[in-house]
Amino acid sequence: MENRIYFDNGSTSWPKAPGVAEAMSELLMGGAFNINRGNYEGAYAVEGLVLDTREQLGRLFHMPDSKHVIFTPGITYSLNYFIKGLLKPGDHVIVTGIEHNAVMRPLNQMAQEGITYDAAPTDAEGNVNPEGLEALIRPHTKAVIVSHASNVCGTITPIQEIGDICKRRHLFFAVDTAQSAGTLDINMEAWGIDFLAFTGHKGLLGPQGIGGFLISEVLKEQLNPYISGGTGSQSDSFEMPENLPDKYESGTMNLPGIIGLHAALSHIEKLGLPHIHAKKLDLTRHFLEGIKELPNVRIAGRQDLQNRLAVVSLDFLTLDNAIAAFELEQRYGIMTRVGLHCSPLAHKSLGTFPQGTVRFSFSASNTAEEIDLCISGLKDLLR
Amino acid sequence: MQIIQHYVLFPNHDNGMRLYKELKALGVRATIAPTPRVASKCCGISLMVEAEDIDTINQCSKEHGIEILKIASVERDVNPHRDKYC
Repeated sequence: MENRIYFDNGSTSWPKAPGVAEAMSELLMGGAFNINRGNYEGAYAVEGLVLDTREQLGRLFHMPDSKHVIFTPGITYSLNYFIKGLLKPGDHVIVTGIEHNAVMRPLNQMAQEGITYDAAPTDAEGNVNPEGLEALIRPHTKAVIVSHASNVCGTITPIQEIGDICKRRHLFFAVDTAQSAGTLDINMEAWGIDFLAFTGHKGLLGPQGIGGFLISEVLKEQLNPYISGGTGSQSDSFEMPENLPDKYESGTMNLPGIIGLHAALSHIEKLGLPHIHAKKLDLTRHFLEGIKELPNVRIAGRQDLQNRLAVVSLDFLTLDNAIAAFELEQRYGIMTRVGLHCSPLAHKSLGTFPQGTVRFSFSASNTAEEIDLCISGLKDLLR
Repeated sequence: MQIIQHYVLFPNHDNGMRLYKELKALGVRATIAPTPRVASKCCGISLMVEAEDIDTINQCSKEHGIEILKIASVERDVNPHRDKYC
């Protein structure tokens, strides 16, 4: 992509980690044998790599027992597993004001079956108020689902505090790490997370089509498998196995995706999360300083570096946001995402509904030079 | 001569792969194999192991929280006439 600047890492990261494409290609060319089915050495070798990947994810999210790591086609699937596998008519759920439609749409579907929900107070910078969240707890509240960081403005949710509330009030705690995994250190055990949903293709730098969740022992007893079918184990029974990970992994898995994710996680382990986070924040600092004096542009969300990720949303006050995004791409090769980012609730909290924003989301592969080119493009566009 | 083969049986593949990995690290010989139908009807993998390693294997699985269904002893029966009735 010569002369193109990719600032849409919030949608999917690019470039992927070194070795991802090679690992996937090697599997597909050399023997993409099916695990839990094939009874030969090649299949066992792939199975070993899948186990290694579970262990990498266990280390990343501080889950000592890696059989509690479940693979799905993506984080939307994972959240559907939680919402549709756990909630029963009459149950109440609390979300935040920055939730993605990956949570809101399944919840609304479930509302037709008697599920109710409330959104915790969230200010115009995307900050969620934990006390306000606690005040929404009712006798029949069953779970709290929170996005770890806004995919619109990058503001980080205080999940440790919310986890403490959930522990104290005996509620299941589910966290959507779509934007934070691979950047922030997330401690599932220490923070009392029962269900941690992740995607492989954003901050984890893996391919699309692979994600999953990590589940606590307590939740495992209550979460029904939303999808059922063959697992290659206990095949004499029509019942789903209770053992993990089989209980939630029916059908053939996305093995090229898992092997690609394995390569990506090895790269992340080598770099280290503090390095990745610091690099992204440096780029964000540079961008925020550069756009400070721009006329007729409003930053949606926090304007500083505190408590945030490398996601910045701009609302162009004298220009249609879609036209601004189009011109940035056409004139300067800057790729962004415009609109509501599948998060109408977040845009309502931020005061950018329905016009949406133009979102710039950086990865550790971006450079200060690219930020400079973008700032100069923005200045030119708004002249 | 009758040859007895020992198989470690698991509730699923994941447990089998885990034990295989741990045993390899300990230098204990184990071979992944399909579970003999005579030992279990539930499919899946098993580990073919030596009789003298069984105590170590039981200890290793306990230490690492690996679930084992049982260790089955199966006669190694390669009979060319099996299931041939005419």
